[in-house]
Amino acid sequence: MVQGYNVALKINDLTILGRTQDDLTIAANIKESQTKDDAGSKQYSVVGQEVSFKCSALIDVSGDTASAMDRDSLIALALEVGEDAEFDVTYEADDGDAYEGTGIITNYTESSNASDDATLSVDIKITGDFTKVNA
Amino acid sequence: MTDSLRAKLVYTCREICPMVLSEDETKVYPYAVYDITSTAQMDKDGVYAFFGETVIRVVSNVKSEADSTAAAIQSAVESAFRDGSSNFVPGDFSKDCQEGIWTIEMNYTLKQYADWSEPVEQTNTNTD
Repeated sequence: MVQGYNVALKINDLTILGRTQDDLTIAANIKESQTKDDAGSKQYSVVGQEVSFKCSALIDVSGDTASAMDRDSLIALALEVGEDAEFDVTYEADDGDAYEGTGIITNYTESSNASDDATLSVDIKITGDFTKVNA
Repeated sequence: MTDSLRAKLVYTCREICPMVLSEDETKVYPYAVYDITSTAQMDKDGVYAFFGETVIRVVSNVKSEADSTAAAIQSAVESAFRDGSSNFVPGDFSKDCQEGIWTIEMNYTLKQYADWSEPVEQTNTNTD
């Protein structure tokens, strides 16, 4: 069993400050076909994958930014364009395999109501391959 | 980080009136009965805060004394728990009188983001 806190998504080798949740989604890109011989049943084949992450964190403006990426750095990254908007992503789960790829931020959201701690949410999409890191 | 919400609340109100738990209620007025149910708040790096659902009931047989004690506690709590390392959210406020005993109930959500310990009282050693 892997505890949630042992699963870490890192952007340029840094976790997100105040991180509370990392969600990974691997969606298959599929090709659909149907011939008369299929007799009404469609055929599907996987031609690739679309890998994305959704990360949630508390907004902490006084934490240690040497080992973690804070809100200001994330906003700066979210405002980049072109190759400057790309960054290294690694995803580790305790003693399980680690994976790496190149990511871009597709959505950045902050939420701050009157009574709760402010939170942020980042959507990341992997551009290109997402591959297992060789030990 | 250790939960010090209860200790800080009692310390904050120590000079206003006796702060007691419900089982220690007396007939010596005024006093305040308090209760805190606190829960640890976690992020992936561990406990970053304690949030406490707090009820403070000021009890007195004199209405003006109940009002002034409640106002003093309200002011002290709101000042002590808005210091950068803690915070609060005010909740319901109610006032009631049963058989001449006034009860003012104040609810708060108290938030603690850093360790707190009771300040050490400085003794004056100056002999001049």
